Amino acid sequence: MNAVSALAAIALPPLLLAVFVLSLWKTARGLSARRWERPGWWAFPAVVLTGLGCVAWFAGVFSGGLDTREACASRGAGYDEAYRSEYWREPSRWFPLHNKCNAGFDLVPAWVNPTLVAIALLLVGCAAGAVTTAVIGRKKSEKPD
Amino acid sequence: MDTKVLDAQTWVNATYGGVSGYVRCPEDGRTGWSTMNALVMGLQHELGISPVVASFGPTTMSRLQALGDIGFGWDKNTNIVRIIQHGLFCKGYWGANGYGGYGAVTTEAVKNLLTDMGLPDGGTGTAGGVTTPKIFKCILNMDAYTKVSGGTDDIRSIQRWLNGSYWTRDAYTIGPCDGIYSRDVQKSMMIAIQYELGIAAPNGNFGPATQAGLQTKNLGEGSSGLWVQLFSAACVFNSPVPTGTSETGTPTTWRSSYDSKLREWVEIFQRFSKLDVNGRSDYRTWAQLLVSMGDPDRPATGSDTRFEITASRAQWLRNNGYAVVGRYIYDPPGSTLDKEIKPGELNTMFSNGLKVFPIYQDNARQLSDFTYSQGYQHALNAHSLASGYGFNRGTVIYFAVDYDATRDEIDAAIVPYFHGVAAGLAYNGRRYVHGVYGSRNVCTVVSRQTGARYSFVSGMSWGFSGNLGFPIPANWSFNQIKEFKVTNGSDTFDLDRDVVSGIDPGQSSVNQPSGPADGFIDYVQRLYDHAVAYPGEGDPNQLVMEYIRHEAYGGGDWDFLIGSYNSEFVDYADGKGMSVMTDFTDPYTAYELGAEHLMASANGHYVSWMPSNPRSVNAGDVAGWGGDLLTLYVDWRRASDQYPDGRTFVQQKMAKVGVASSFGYNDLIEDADAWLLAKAVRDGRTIAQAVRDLYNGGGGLTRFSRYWSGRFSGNAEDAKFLAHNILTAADDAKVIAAQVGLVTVRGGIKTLPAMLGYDDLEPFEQGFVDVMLARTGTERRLRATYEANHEKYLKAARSRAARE
Repeated sequence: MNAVSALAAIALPPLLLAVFVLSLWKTARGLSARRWERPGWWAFPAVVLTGLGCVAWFAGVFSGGLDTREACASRGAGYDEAYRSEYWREPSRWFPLHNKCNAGFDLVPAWVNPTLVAIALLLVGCAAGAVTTAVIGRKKSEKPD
Repeated sequence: MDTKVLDAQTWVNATYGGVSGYVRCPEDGRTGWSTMNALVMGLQHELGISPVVASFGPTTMSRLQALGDIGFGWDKNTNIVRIIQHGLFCKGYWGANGYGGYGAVTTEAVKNLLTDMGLPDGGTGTAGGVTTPKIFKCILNMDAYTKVSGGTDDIRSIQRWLNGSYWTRDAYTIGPCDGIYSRDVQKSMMIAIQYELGIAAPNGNFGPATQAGLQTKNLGEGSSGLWVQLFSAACVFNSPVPTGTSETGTPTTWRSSYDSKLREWVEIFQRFSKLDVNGRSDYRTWAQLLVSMGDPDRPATGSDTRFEITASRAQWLRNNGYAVVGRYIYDPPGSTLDKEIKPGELNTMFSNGLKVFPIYQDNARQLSDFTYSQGYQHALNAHSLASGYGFNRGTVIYFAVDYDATRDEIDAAIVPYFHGVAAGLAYNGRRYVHGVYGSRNVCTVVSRQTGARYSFVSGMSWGFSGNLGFPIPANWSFNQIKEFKVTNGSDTFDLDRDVVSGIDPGQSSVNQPSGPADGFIDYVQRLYDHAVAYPGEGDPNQLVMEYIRHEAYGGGDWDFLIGSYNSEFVDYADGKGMSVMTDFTDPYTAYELGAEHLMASANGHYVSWMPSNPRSVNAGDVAGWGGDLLTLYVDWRRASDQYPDGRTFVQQKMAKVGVASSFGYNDLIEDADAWLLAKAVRDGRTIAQAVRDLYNGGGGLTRFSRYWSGRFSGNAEDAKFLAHNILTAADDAKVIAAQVGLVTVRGGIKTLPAMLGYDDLEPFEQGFVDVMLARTGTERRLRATYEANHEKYLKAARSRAARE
């Protein structure tokens, strides 16, 4: 790793965190001050949702902790080689996230996939909100005085 | 220390210390049975019983009944009043302002007690608050009538309701109202059911009259009333139902109308318990909720027996719907049961389509049979016997606890015994996995505290204290529900019927081939040939590594770390009849090595080779030694109370022969071999050649020293830097993700290594260096042994090759 990429790796996490916190603050503040009527405001909740989505996805992806056998054993769940062999594509899918020890026990917490769906829907809502407020704003500005 | 409890202790010792049979209680201000029993003995003396005994028995009760109720203004015996008042204080009620007189304060305290119990308080002002003989007995026991830690409001509501509804009935004993499901609550529930069924003399047992009565109580959605309350209460006692996910389970709440939510919960419970799923309170569901064996005559496909399974018995079992049989792998010296598997018996079972699950029992019928060292020895013996029978790697062996162990005994002896079992199996390379046979409570605690894979529940011992008042463990695999005698023509034998959950399918074969390393080498060669012939894109060496790791080490975390595997090649190789080989025997140490972990780590090093800076780490290290060290860090933080010094912890837990650990000896061998394989392939060897050099060519004789000099620069200072960097480095996104993912997400430890003070973390890192140096030293010391093992292996391999 060269010096530039090392510097970027060190600087990136705090930068992303700062953007997330700023967006969270802007989102909260904008709600009470009716700033959501401006199309640009919708970018802030979208950033917050994306951040939360990344956290949820990361929690799901790392539920096996690089060693699924050990993770299953630590939960008292049997590692079913026949099941894993039959459904070998399942753990590497991006969505829905699953990492099953056997047919009945999933290491991925149950809240992860519904959260990802909810966040995706809310992101669509953000996009719709931005478009709607932009259209309304344009109509208002086109209205003759 | 409670001064009011201390008052009680000093007074009762001073007053009755000279009475015949009296046992003094400690004067420490802490409530316990010794204090309550001292008060009971004081009461017995006042009632004219001699000698006194530490038990509130029938004589004490009948003398009290003769004395009558004790209420406001009662002054026949001030010491008896004082015993009530001290008892109230010990239970947490303000019993009196001054001792000896049953005044308004004592009356109010008893009213509060009655209310907490769910009973009517008896009236306003100085009316009510009367201490009847039954209430007196409750004042002098250790039952809590307020919610305690771990209790729930719902269960406490049921406890109060049962007390309030049945306390005047003769057979009913007022139970605790602490919010905890226990043996007492279960018995109270059963007596309430028996009263409602009209049984003349309820006894709390699940006898024929109770069974017959419950067959008529088939309720469903839309029903309401008392029977729904009783059924729903039984559901709450068995709630939550484990869902098969990492969540806590599906709960239910107490109710009087059978609504859709209750129906849904019942369906989940029925599914979990392997009953017919109909959402109704049919007889089998009642039975399953109330007793550990449920309906002993329900269909079951599992069994276990001490008798040999001969061909005719195997045929009888198949014809009668049995698919799996539990058999003993050991018969201790002096036993007359002759219960061990017989030569050829396993083949007889397999050829008749039966599967088998192994049980290990060496006495195991009393507390003294359970110590750590006995567990360790039993595991060594079980490994040796199971290997002798050829049981395949990963087989679960059920170690028996064949008596009614109490919770104290479980904590003091059974859990240490199973820690010994786990260590003993680890010593032999973790070829076999431990399961537990015992009561529900034994199975639950042992599984939680020692990682027992599955529970074989002794459900038919329904009267065991470890079965009454405990739900079936989440990891139950077999539930033993009935013992009976089979008559098959002129042959008779005893058989236990076991309901099967399906999580342990049992073993349908033994001696699965390809154990030795030559089998693995041939396998890698065949896979490599397919990879070379594969028409798609990809480096054949990498395709081989990816194929072997794809099932167990192919999730999103690995994609993120070292990239995804080539799924088209997986399909291609599967189509050529290949499958994943999971393990083989190391020809030097005779340890079982995990092929999937080996190739996952090799794949990591291969695609993410060590950085040019010898003290830097990257994703390749995470895939190998680094990931194991991060997991070991999690284990240390969990045990930090016991091991405040990280160096001691690592020295005792990492890569130590005979110690169960997330970074065991096998793991270190696999990490070292993975790095050596990746290096060889990067230097131009094929993966097949590299594997052959390592295991046939003697490369493994110096694996640790070459790993140490290659990856750790051969010096302790660099190695310590590397350990520090893998734990704390913030300049590599994948390493950071691994730190957070393994320590916090997977391990549940909030304190990342970087957040720990240097003084705390440094000894842990030093421990890693110590162990690495120790293993290279051991390798040199044991070289002659390893060479002899290797020679033996090569000779056997040549012999196998000649036979083919």
